[in-house]
Amino acid sequence: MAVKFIREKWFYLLLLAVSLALPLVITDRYIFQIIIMSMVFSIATLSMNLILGYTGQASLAHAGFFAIGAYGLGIMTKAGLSFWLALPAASLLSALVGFIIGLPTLRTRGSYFAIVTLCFGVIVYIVIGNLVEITGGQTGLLGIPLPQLGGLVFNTHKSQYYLVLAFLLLTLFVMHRLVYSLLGLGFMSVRNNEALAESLGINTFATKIISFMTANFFAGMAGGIYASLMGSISPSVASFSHTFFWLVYLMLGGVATLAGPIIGAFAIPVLMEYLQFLQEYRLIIFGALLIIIIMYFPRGLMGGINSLRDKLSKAYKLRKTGGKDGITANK
Amino acid sequence: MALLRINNLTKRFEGLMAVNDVTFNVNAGEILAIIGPNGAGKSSIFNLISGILRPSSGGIHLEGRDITGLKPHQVAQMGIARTFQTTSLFNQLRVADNLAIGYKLRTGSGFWSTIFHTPRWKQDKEKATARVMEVLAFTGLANKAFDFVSTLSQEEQKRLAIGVALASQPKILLLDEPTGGLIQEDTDKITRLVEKIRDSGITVCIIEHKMRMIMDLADRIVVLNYGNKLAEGTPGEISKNPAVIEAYLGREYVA
Repeated sequence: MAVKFIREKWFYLLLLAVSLALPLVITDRYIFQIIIMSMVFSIATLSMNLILGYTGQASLAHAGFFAIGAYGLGIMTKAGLSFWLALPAASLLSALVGFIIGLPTLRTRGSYFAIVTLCFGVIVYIVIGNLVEITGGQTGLLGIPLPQLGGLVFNTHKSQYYLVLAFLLLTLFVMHRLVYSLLGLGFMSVRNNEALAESLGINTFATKIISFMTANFFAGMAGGIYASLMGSISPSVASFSHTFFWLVYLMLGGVATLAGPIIGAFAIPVLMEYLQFLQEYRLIIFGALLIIIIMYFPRGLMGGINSLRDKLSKAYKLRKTGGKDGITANK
Repeated sequence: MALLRINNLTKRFEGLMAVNDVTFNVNAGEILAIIGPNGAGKSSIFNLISGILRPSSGGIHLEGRDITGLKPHQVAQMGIARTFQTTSLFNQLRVADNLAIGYKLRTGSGFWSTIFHTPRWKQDKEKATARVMEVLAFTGLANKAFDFVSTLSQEEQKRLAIGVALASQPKILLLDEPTGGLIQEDTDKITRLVEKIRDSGITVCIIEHKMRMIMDLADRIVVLNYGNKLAEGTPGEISKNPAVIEAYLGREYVA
């Protein structure tokens, strides 16, 4: 909160300009599809970042909440509800389930919380696969209608791109507001030193619940968008490999940064595409890359950039104040 | 006037009597020191007051209100702030952010006002910024505001830990060995800060081992030994008390 660089604002504006202009440059349908999916997964990764990165609670149920949003939207829109009502409803459903699950699980700490949430993700997968009358079981849910706005059906890549971009910006906006506030500092205080936060009057349990519900709201929203764009979903949306991929996007892009999850969600699928010729061997390269990043950039790409920037500004300040450290040294 | 009343406070851990029927008052505006050998129950008393431990029996009253058994965050909201024996800070964050977290409990804007930047949020933000500046100046850390905690010296970290507690605008501040592990020069700096806090109107309750420092600093002293209250009084009274001398120096020194 106290530290908000103006350069960060320029960075976001540049990103916005590029993203608005992108459809004018990209013509390849296949690339377009990858970009749209990367944006949907950016939303999922950003929301995971809130609970895992900022609040320090490693929720591995994220694909489960993604699936709740996806199936929630699929079932509601198939029943005739408009996308614009079904999406918030499905997201709220996901947040509500998060609240109910969070009440017992957020009392556990560290790896225990990771294990419990991992189990919840598996339970969601199994339940979806077995509730045949509602979810279609293993066959999945087919024929989910595309989003519509007035007479406009979002059936072209370009229109879908702008639709998802709007939701991505909404997510980014909310995350930005939360993170750069006292509430966001509250999240980080829970991550950093729960005992101290509690002794400073912060209700750490309530803080974790708020973060978990918000994260799951946006995970559900990402799932809902995914379902309506794909048109059909199967229980595999809840599979752990989704959670794992978002976790990797987050680790590589930069935990507890706002740009990191988006960079990760774009860089890795694109990298995977370019390494296509290596076939299955690309997973080995991918694994090696992951190990290198975690060893040398434990806070991911953005974390590395941030600490580099810190060092540079410190060196600059030192030169300006003639060797004296600190902000008021030149007074 | 008694700001904090500790009545017959007892804490048992499976047969071990950590705190045994201890009664004392902390008066408004004073520096009360709690001293005693290792394992005397000093930190346990702080943990009982701040809600980290629940007492087996006895009561704790702040300004006449019963706060026994409240959760730590509720106790903090009532106006009791504390520091920990091992310097406890948010070491991933910057100095100013640490202080802002200390003030957070005095702000009321929640999730929605944060997202919509309501007037209340803006007001809270301004209040928090003002409080952070105030505490930075008070603790002498203004030129470190945007530094990460890990770059601070040991003594600066101890000052910051006190500052974080101060940021919460407490009525009473509990300091658990604020000078532990510091050299004499740094100990003096912390002592001056504690006096400054008392002079600003905040009541201080301090645990310390350094006798010379305590004798100069404290208005009154409570001596604990094996969970029991051994003595209570002014530094002058305590230094002459035979029971205290025995506990500290052994029986043969009692003249």
